[in-house]
Amino acid sequence: MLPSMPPRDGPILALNDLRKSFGDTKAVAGVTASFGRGEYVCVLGPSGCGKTTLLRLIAGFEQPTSGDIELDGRSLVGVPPERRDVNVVFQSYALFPHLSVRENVAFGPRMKGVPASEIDQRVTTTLQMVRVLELADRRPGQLSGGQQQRVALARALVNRPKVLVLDEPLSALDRSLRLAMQDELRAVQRRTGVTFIHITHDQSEALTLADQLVVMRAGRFEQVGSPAEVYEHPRNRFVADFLGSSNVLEATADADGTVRLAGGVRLRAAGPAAAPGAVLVSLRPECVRVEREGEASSSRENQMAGQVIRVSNTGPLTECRVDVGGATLVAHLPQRANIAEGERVVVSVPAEDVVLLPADATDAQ
Amino acid sequence: MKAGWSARATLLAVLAFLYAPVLVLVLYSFNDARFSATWQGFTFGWYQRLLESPETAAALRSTLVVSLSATALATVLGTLLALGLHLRRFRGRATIELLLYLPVVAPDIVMGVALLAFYVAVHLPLGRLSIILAHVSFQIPFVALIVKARLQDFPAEVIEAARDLGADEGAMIRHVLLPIIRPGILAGALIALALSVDDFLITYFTAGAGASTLPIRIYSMVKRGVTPDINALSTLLLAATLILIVAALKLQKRPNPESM
Amino acid sequence: MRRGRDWLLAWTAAPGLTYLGIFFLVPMLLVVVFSVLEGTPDGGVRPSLTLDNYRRALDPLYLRILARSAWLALLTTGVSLALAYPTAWAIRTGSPRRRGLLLALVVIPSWMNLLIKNYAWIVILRREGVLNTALGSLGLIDEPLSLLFAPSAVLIGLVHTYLPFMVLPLYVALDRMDWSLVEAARDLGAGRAAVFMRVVVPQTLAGVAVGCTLVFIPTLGAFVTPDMLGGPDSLMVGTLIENQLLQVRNWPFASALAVLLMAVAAAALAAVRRLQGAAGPGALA
Repeated sequence: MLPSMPPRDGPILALNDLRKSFGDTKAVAGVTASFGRGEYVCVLGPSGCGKTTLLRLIAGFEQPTSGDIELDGRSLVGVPPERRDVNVVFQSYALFPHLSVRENVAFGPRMKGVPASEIDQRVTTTLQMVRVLELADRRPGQLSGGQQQRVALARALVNRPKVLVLDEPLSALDRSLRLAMQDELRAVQRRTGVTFIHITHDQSEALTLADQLVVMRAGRFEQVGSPAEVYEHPRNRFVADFLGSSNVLEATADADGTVRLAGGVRLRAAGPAAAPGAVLVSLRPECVRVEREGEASSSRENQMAGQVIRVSNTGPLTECRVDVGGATLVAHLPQRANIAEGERVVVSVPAEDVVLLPADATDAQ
Repeated sequence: MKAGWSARATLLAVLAFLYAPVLVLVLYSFNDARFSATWQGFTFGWYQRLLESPETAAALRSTLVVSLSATALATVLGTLLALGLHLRRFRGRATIELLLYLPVVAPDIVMGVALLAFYVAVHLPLGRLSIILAHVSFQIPFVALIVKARLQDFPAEVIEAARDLGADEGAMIRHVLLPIIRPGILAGALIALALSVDDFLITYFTAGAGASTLPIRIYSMVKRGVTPDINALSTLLLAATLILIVAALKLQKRPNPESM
Repeated sequence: MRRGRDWLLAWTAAPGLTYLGIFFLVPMLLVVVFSVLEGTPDGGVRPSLTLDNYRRALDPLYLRILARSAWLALLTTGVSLALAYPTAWAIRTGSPRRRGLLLALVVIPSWMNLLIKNYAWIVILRREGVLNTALGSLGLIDEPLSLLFAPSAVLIGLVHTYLPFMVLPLYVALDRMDWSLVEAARDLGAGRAAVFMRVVVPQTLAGVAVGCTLVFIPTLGAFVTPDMLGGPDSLMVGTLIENQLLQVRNWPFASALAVLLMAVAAAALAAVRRLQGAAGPGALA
C-alpha cells in the first residue's frame, strides 16, 4: 500500500501518452488526460475500442507498452494490482463463490491486515450503504444479478480506493433495474467522494452519469469534456454519431460565415466561422423545429421548405423525417405534434444549434 | 424420432450382458459349494476364509500402501500441472496438453514394458516403490485433466479480483484458488485412487517377485484354479472401486463449491 | 513484462511435466532404443544397431499372431459398434428423465476391474460352469460344451470389457447432434432409413471414430483377456509381448512389438483427430 499522504490539489489520475500493444494490435494508442478528485468519469466507446484494456492498465492487470499512469502524483508503472489504491467492479462481478457476502466484502481489508473489529464495522457500513446488509450471510450463487452487482460494488468500495474502476457494471441488468442502479451508483459516488471511472458502451448511461465524458475509438480519446460540451459540440462526426442519432450533412463553408448544404439551402451557425471549404453540419434531432407551411413565424432562423416523409410515434416523442430537397432531416417533436405524412412544412434550426464539424473528421487523425 | 423396439431390445440385452456375469460372480461368492456351479445354500464362509489368508492380507496391505502413496503424490503433481497449464500462457502449451493424453490412451502393456525396461536400465529394484512410481505416471494426467475441467468452470476474473483486493499470489492461491477447485482435486484424487487400486497390467510388469497387490493376488489365484474365495475377493474389490467412483462423480457434478 | 509476478504459478507445471518426462517419455524412448539393439542369450542387450527385431515380427509364426490380434480387435470393435449404436440411440431418444440413469448403468461396468470381469466369464463358461450346469439340468445337452479357452470366449470377454467405451462417445455425439435437422428431413418427406443414413450417421461420425479408437487401441494390446479366456490358438500381441519379455527374456523383440503396437495406436489417434478437425483433444476424453 502506498503510504498515506496529505491531500493534494493535482489530478487524482493522470494518463500520459499511455500505450499498450498486443503484437501488432494497438489496443491503447497513446492517450493523455487527467481526472480530478471526486469526479464521475465515463469512458464511452464501441466494443473493441480499447476501453477494457485501459481499465486493465489502470487496475494493473496489464503493464503499459509505453507512457505513464499517475495516481495521486505517483507513477503506477510496475506496481502490481494488489498494491494500487485502485479497485475494480468487474463486468462478471467475479464474486468469490465459496465465500458469503460478508466474507466477500471483508476480503480486501483482511488482505490488507485491517484489525478484525474494524473490518466488521467497515463491512457493515458498506453493506448498509449499498443496501444489501440483510443478504450478508448468503452465498453469491443465491443472489440475483442486481444484488451481486451491489455486493461487487461494496467489495470494492470497502477498501476506500482513490479510484474505482467499473467495467460495464450495468450491462448484465435489465432495463428498469439498470435505470435504478444508475441513480444509485451516482448517489454512492457522491457520498463516498471516490473518483469513479465507469466504462460503458451505452451513450445514455454515460450522458446521465458523467461529470467528465471520454469518447474513445480505436485506442484513442476522440473527445474529453462535460457531457453537455461533448453532446452539443462534438468534435467530429464519430462523436456526433455515437452520442445519439444526429443529422450530419455535407456542406460547404463560404467566406461570409454561412454554410451551404448540398441541396443549396444556406444555414447560419452561431459559433466561430469555419474556414471556407468542405465541412460537416450536425443538427440534433431535438433542435430541429417543424411547422406547417403558413403557421410558421417568418422570424425563425435557418428556414428550409420541406415535405414530411414519415411520422413515427416512439413513445415520449414523435420522430419525423422531412425531405428538405437533397437531404433528409430527422426531427424529434413533442408527443402532441400535429403533423401528418405528406404535408408541406417549414423546418428551422436556431443558429446556436448548428454545429460545424471538420469534413472527413473520421480520418482526420 | 423415437427408438424402435429393436433399439430398446438391444439396450436391455446390452445391460443384461454387462451385468449378468458380474452378478453371477457376486452371487456365487455366497454359494456354499466348493466346485459345483449348482446352488448349495447361503454362506459367508468364503469371506471368512479370505480374511484368514495371510497372502490376501499382505496383498491388501500392499494395495493400501501403493494406492494411497501414489494417489497422494499424483494428486499434488497433477493439480499443480493443471494450474500451470490453465493459468499461464507459454509456448508449447498446446503440445503439452496433447501429450497429457498419451499416457491415457497408450496401451497398458506398452507402458508396463516401457517402465520395466526403464527400471532395469537405471537399476531400480522392483517392489512397492517401483509400483508406486509407475502408478503416479498414469494417474497424473487424469488428475490434471479433471482439475483443469474444474478451473475452466469459473471465470478468470475471480483471480484478478483477488489480486485487485490486495491478495498477493500466495494469498490468492490459499484463499481463493484452492477453495474453489477443491472438489475437482478431490474428484481427481478419488479417480486416481480407483485407477490405482484397479490396475493389474502395469503393476504386473513393475512388481517384481515380492510385492503383490489385490489384482495380482486375484490373477495368481485364478491361475491356480477356480475357487469361490476368488468370487469373494472380487466382490470386495468391486465394492471398493465402485464406492470411489460414485463419490468422485458426485463431487464432480457439484455445480458450485458453495456447499463445501 | 510481468517482472517476476506470479512466479509460483509460472513453475507449478514443471514438477508434473518433469515427472511425466522421466517416468513416461524416457521409458517410451528406451523401448524404441531397445527395439533396434541386438539381444544376448542371457537376456541382456548388446549396443549394436539392427532391424532384425522388426524383421522377426514378419516371421509367419509371429505374423499369424499379429494378424489374429488385428482381426480380433476389429471384430471386437465391429460387434461393439453394432451393439452400442442402437443402445445409445435408445437412451438418447427415450424419456429424458431416465437418460442419466441408463447412461450411468452402461458406464459403471467400465469401472469394474478387468480381471474380475474376465474371471466372471470363466465362472460362467468353464466345463463345470454356470452355463453348462444350467443347460445340462434343463436336459438340453448331454456333454458339457467346451466354450472356454477359445477365440470366441476372448471375443466375448473383450466386447464385455470395452463396450461401454463405445456407447459413451456415441451417446455424446447423438446428444450434440442437431435434432431439428431430423425433423426438417422428415418434413421434406424422407423416410426413416433415409433420415438415419443421410442425417444422423453423418452427424455422428466423429463419435463413431472416437468410440472405435477407444475400443480398438486397448483391444489390440489386450493381455489379460486372451491370457485368461483364450487357449493356445488365441494368443494375441499382448500375450506375445509378455511372453517374450518375462518368459523368453528377449527384450529387443518384445520392445519392437511394443513399438509396433504404439505406432498403430498413434496412427489411429491421428486419424480420429483429423476426422474431428477443430474439435480438439477434449473430445477424446
